[in-house]
Amino acid sequence: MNQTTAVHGEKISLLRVLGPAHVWALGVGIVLVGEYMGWNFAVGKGGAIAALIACWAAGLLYTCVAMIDSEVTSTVAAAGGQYAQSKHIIGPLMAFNVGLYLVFAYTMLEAANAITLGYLVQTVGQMAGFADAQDKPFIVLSIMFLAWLNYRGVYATLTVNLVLTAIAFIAVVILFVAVKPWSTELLNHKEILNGLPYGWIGVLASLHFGLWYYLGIEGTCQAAEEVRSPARSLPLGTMAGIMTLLIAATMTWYLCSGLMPWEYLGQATTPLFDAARLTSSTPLMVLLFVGTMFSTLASANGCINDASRAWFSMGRDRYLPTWFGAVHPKNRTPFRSIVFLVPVALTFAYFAPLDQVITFSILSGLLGYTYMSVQVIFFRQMWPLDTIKRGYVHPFHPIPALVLLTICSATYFAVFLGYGTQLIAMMVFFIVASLWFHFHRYKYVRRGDQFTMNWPRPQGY
Amino acid sequence: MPLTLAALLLAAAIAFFIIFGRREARLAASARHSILDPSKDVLDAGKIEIDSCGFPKLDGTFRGRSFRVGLIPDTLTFRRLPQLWLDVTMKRSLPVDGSVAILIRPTGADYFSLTDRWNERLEPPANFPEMCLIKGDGPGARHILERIAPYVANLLHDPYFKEIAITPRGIRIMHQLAEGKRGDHLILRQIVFENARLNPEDLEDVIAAVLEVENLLLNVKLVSAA
Repeated sequence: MNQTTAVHGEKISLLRVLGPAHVWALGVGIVLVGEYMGWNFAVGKGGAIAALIACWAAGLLYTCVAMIDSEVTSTVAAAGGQYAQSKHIIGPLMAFNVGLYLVFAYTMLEAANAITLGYLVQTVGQMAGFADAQDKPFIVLSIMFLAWLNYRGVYATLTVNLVLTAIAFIAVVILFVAVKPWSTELLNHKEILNGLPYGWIGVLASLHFGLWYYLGIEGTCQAAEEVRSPARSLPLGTMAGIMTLLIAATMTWYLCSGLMPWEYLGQATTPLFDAARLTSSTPLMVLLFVGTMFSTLASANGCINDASRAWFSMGRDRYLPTWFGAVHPKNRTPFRSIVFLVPVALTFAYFAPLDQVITFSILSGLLGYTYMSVQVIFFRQMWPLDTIKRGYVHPFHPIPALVLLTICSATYFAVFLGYGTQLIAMMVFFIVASLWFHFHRYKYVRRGDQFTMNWPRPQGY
Repeated sequence: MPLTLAALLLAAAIAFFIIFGRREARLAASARHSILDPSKDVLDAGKIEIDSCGFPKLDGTFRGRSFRVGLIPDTLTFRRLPQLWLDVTMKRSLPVDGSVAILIRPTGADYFSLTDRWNERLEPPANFPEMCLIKGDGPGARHILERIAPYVANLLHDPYFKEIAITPRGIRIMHQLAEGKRGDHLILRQIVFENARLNPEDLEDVIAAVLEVENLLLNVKLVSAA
């Protein structure tokens, strides 16, 4: 058979598997939008320096995530990420919750992208003389249009789309060079930077939005169907992505924090576009407009795709009504799941402010990461190293799990400092949903179908 | 003035990308439509049509038996690259009073699998690989499995093999034909099966496997538990 990726049964080095486009994809493709919006709310929490510290601390959190995820993914051959892992290691109730975390993280990110896009169109419209330009129609339009594309299932591929998305990354680099970081002609860090206005508690509070730079990067650890490839098992791909993002994030931080005072930067909707406006260069403004548009559109498209597939899987597993597990007879897409999640995204995008929508997305992701730290400890206890074959064994266990748990706990506290109500609301939601699952839905779950791995009986059971 | 110039440049860029994009889309569709072309002559009176997803399907006969060759693009499993499954089905009535489907490496989202339709779960025979889901229907299901198990066990060790299904209406084998490009999927969730094509010898191998299973089932008058 003619294969596009010849990974089957071969010993393959990472470099052979990952071409330049793949490295780019791993590094920036999915989470690049984090550079264009959202990260700057960390500046508002503790000042620009605090945001930079938070960015690097979040990098450590994601390094632990990449290591742990790589080991468990290399063992659970059935694709599906954390959702499939939780079915095997903990059980249906945990899998139900993990599925919900994923759906909410992606749906809220989709809403955040739509808000940013709408705001940008409104701003540019007003600059162009359309004083009455409104963001709401564009928010609705972008979500509906992307949902329709996903409903139809677009099998056509356009290289041009990749080019446009690449522009989103190149735009950051061009802007960085254009502000002449080697001189003080445009950048004025000496005057603008003000240390830590809220001290170290501000640094802790910034950690919340520090996660935004990387949220979802563990999704780059995709399963190559069927025979597991060594590349999939290696955490290096995700690590390379984290390092690329660290560099891009530091560049973004450097140019924005040198152009805008923290009081403004900390609440801006489109910080990079605003930075371009401050240079008074029209070509740069156009470039950053295009970059923001395409990074948000690409991200929102990926979110609709992933959220609907997680919801679809839950329907297939009977964690939700099986009605959601239907596949469109012609388009072969999970059309009911796609349509069902549209009003959820629209409601948040239309009525909630950007920082709150981002907070809901981060919280959902954070719950997933917290679970990962607990899961890997269970996993090593129930199936020690010599009992099942692993494609990759992460080092220094349990230190990465404990570091991950510690940073997650600190981030919950950070969220509580600024968004206590949202934190409690989300926790109440998940508790109520879990009770519904336990007392009502669980009886419909086919327990025998849940465990697809032929693992030995876990130790202690 | 600079804003007008920028607007014009933007409009020109959009126009360029639309024209370029349409050309790209046409080329991609053309490549997709010709995936089965190399194997058209394997079947007698082979006829290719394009299905609702824009993928080709081939109908024809092989040694007097009616075959249908189809392609199923599968993008429904979370955190897995898109897959292109090759579906080779022999349509004929078989003397069996039951149905069996054997799916390897199930994910739970295998909507195309016949294991989805039946409730009776059968234990995998001893020589089957790990991660095998077998489901059946009807009184003869276990007997069908026993008859084909020694031969199918070898098929299941092929890393491209996905499913074999036997029903009174025919035999179907599914194979992995291609896997989506990682970069395109990661960035834009696009499905690119670059250079995917079905070679005649590969199709002949799958058809030979179908015929071998048919032969195993036809060696007795009625494959039944009775």
